[in-house]
Amino acid sequence: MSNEPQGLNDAELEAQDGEQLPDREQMSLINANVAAPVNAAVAANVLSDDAVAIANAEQDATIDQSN
Amino acid sequence: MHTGRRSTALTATALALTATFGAAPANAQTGGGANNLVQVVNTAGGAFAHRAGVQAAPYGGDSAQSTNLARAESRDCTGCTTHAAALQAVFLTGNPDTVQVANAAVATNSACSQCLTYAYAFQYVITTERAVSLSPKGQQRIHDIQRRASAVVAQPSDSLDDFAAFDAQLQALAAELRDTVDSELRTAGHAATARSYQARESRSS
Repeated sequence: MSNEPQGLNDAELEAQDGEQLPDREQMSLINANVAAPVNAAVAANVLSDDAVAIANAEQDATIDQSN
Repeated sequence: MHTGRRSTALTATALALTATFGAAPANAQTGGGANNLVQVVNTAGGAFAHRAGVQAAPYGGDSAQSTNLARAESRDCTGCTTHAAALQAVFLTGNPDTVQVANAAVATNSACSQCLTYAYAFQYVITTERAVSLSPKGQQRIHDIQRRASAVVAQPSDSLDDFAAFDAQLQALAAELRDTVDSELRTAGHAATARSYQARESRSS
């Protein structure tokens, strides 16, 4: 019994399907809009005894963008 | 040893965040938009330091990089108390391509025994179809919110309950700031809605 890979026969080749690529101009369109709100709260005690640190950050952001 | 590693990591994190947000004015050269930076560093034993800043500003450029930062630090002292609050509303009027706004509250005790440190930051960002500016009445309301925010952080604190009360009072002022801006936009023929993001952290030692 041979382990060599077998090629596709005519029927299998016929069954293969593909899709036409879009025009190059369409492929190069890039939506460059960036919306990256950052919200952070950091509380830290470093070499501190009986100490309390509280941080609270709140952000409301609605960012509508269009090209 | 384990505690030492943890402290080092916390220090690095705090410094990195402080450097990132503290450097906003320099970064703003590549973008634009107002920055509201409220930073209070307290190094005097037993002292109480506090500050609040409230800002409402339009931005009409292509790259919005406004930063709102409340940073409170008690350092190298005993029994220090430090409060900072920053509230900012930014309305983007120029359909910007890039919006990289940042909001941060940073509270740190560094080599500080029995210290209480509190930071609160609120940022409201909305886009509008055309230029909008605050009316004299709107500006007056912003000044009034500034005055009351300063009064909130000027209150003494000695427990977590006090900080919870500060949160509630400042959140009410933040809602008032948002309503003021929304009201101004409605008057100018715009509607405004927003998504909310919240981050909160507390540390006791």
